[in-house]
Amino acid sequence: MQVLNKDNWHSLMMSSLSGDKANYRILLSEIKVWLEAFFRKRVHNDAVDDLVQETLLAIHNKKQTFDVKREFMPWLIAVARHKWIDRIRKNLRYIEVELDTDFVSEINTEISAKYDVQKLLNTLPHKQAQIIEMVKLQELTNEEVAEKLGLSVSAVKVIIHRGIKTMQAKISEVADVQ
Amino acid sequence: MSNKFEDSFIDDLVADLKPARPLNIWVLSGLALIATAVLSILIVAFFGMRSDIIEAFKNGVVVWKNGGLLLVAIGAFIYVMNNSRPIKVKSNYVILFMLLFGGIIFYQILKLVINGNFEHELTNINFGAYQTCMSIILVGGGMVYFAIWKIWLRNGASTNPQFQSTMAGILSGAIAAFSYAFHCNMDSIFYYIICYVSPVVMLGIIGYILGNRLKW
Repeated sequence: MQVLNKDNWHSLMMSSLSGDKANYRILLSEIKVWLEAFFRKRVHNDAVDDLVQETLLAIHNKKQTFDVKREFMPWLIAVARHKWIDRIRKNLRYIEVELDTDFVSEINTEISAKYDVQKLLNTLPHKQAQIIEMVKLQELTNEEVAEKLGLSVSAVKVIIHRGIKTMQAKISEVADVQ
Repeated sequence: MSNKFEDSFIDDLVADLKPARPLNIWVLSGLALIATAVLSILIVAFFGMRSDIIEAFKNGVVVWKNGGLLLVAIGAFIYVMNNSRPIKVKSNYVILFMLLFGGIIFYQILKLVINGNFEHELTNINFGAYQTCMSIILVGGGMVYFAIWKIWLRNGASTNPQFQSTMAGILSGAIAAFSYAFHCNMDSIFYYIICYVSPVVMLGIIGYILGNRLKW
């Protein structure tokens, strides 16, 4: 089990803000462990990975909102709480589907053959479908897609990851019916 | 799952790291002050200062007309400033600024009622150059809002981005209206409500609509 040295997080964040990649890696790796524990107490296990990723991405994109004169933990908790509340709001609108994350390797080929990729893509939000199509069908790199659409590479990766999960869920729905 | 995926995710975030300058409240303050100064100078340079400015100072018109808008701008500024980070700073007292502004308007209307001029003022509003007034507040305020969006809002992480953007819209409109009021000599309270307050509210609505894009 990884021992977290939370006392160091403030100074790690300070050096991350000035562009120190080595310390940023240590910080994110430790935060990831802490976030997993934080969300595991609050949401279903299946949602933990998504929330951890979303929170890490928010920390990355909004690191400039950290007030260097204040403690690091309250800021981290506030970001995590915001993501958690966001998730609760979404769940009020959508029924969450149980996802099998290693589904790709296990899909019944017969079923997947019946399910046209384009049809699956059509069920996704436009931007998500567009990105998956560019990366998986047109074989563009994440960097190229990020540049074309004006997104960060990490945002592209998260969008692809979520899109594929949604597509897997659609296929498993068909599998269940059959 | 996916330790491998998440480790590569962290790799991507680390690779994407660039030095970041923490949000500094002086940036927003400077932006608001510069916007006010630039708009005021431009308006006075192009349209001129109202000819009775000294008189307007003496009889208190500038105090309630410009001062009211300044109160709104200060209140909105405090809200935007306090709500730019994930940790919320209580800003309920901002409502006092808005209530004071409401009080100013109420007092001006009450004065008309007491003097028996209410109906006459209401039915005989001299709209003068209302197109110029409203369009300058909307366009000037829009430009200020755009600057606030670029420099401040999109870098922030408010827990209520939509309301923060609404307040940024009101702040922008109030700055533009405050600046324009140095030129305009239409001092009827009803003209003020229609040609000054409503464009500020419109900018607030635009801010509310655009605030939806600030989700993080």
